[in-house]
Amino acid sequence: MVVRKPGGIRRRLIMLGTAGGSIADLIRGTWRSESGNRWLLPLAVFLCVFGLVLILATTVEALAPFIYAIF
Amino acid sequence: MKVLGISAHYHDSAAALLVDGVPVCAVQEERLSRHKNDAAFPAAAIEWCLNHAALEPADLDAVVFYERSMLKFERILTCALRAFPRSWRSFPNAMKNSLGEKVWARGIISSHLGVPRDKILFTQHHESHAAAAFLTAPTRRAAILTADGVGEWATLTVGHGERRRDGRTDITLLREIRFPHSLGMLYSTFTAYLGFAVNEDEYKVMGLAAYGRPTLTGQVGKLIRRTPDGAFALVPEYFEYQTTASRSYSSRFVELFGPPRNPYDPIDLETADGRRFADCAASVQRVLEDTLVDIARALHQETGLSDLCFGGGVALNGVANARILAESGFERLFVPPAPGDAGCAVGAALYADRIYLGNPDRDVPDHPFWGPEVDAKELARAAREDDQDVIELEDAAMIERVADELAADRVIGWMDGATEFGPRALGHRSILAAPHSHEMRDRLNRDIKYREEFRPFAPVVPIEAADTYFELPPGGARLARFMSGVFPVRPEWRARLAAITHIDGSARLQALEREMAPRLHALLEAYGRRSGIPVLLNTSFNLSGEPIVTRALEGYSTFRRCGIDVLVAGPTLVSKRATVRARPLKEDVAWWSGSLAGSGGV
Repeated sequence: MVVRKPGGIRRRLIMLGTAGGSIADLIRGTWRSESGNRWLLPLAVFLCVFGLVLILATTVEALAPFIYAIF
Repeated sequence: MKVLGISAHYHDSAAALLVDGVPVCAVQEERLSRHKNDAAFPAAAIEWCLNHAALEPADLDAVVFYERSMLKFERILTCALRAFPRSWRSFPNAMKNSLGEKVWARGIISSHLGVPRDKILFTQHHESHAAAAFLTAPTRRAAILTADGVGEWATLTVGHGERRRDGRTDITLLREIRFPHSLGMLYSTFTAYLGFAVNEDEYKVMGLAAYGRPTLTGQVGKLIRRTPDGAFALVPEYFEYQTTASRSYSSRFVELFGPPRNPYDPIDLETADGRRFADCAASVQRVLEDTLVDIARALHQETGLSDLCFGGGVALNGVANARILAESGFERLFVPPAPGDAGCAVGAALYADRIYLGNPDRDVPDHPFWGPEVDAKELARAAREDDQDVIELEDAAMIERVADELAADRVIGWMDGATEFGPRALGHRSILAAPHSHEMRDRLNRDIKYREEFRPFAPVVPIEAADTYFELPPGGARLARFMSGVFPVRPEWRARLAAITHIDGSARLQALEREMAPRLHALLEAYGRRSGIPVLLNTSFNLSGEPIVTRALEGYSTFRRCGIDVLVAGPTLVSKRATVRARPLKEDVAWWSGSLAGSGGV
């Protein structure tokens, strides 16, 4: 058995830890993209951060009431 | 250097492992999870690959994901905004779908494998297709064509590749056609309209097309406009796939072609509706072929090269492939055994190895057998425990015995060595039968595969004899190596090859070289000595809706649940006892007798 079967919390924390790099990929890719969608960047980044916040809420349950209270 | 390639999250997840530039194994997740077209992160496939090569994740030099998931997210977001307000219903779902997991590919890989972030690389979707097609083909310079539904933005690319004498590799994609203009999506829209499953049943549309006439090409032509630069553009009013994942075609599409088929209604070609559906299939097939031939012909004129490597899901269309070979001007056409997204695991790994990491070019073995091996002892043990007839034979005796069984019209489940990578059964996980009669075709459809009557079966023939029975153009035998082309059966043989001859006189044959599958080749020769025709019907070893079997136990389970008479794995042969087949009937009778007696009736 070589592939880890991380628990949900640990897996999501690792995902959160790598999210900065992924969002940087998004910014780089969209900026260089031929689709002319640079205007989309603020919204795309906002949605990604929004998604991360929801992942955080489901990962660390103690934070969930505070996060949901925002909305 | 050890490079792991991964494709995941849309359909046909897979993993592939390269060691020192050469693939050592590759497997689709569905073959291990037993979920058809499994799109989940391929943890089982990765684990099998690493175990097979006796590696730990820490030993990997790079892990390559087959597409840039963040660019795909940008496309989904852009399309949703462009389609606003029509997309307001699908927008939350699309965001939840993407942001829940798919866009975080780097994190998911890191969390499963524990590899550092800087070892995780990404290729573009069509770069992966291009590498899977070009770097696995036995050619040094070739034009490259890729076409599928959609990757990040690209849906079709043209370019060229070269494996240089100094070991460097170049892959250049010159131009691309971008979403929503997509040949794959056009075909998938008709797949949905005809009541089949999108991204899965496109081959049924191709099979149905042979029953129809392309009388609706004018109407299909209204959906796809050819542009002066040789490309094409779809007319968006007829489609909805760009705005929602729940429906592919618009109400204008329905006005043009009539009501769609209910997936639960059988296709009855005796009715007007049945013929209309067949004509729709024939028409979109014709338009797809014409468009691909034009693009390939222009690419041939532009590059002046003699070889074309074709990748992407559209390359599974064997009828179109045969026309490209015959009409585009290319002398050879290479389609890999897994041209779809599963093959991108191999393609991404090869692309990263050659292009990103700059490793020297290596020849890739020209076969499709990269998956788990069958364990004959496991089969023998299970069959004996189940009170079946099990015998073990030497290779030569086994071949003769199986040829006798085939000549007696018995159906064989054939498992041999490593499983194929890709959707075709190419002789290691096959159901084999005599190819001579309609009755055999009907029996297979009814008792074994449980599938639609209109779908054809494929033949396998030794490459030396292929030209005797099939009309192969120059380069046709190569295209038939991985069952990637549909060619006419010679008219004089059609009556004696009725089970594998489609309604239009064609067959999607596999031309088998001895070196690729020596036991099956020997079996074909032995069967030829008995019947006079060294051709067998070869269909994938699975039941309808299930993935192709991988392990001996899965083969045995399938064998017990359908009308296969004999199961072979390596030196082990299991025959189904006649009493076993009769048992369910007896149980039914006993149950009825008991219930009637208990209720005091009769």
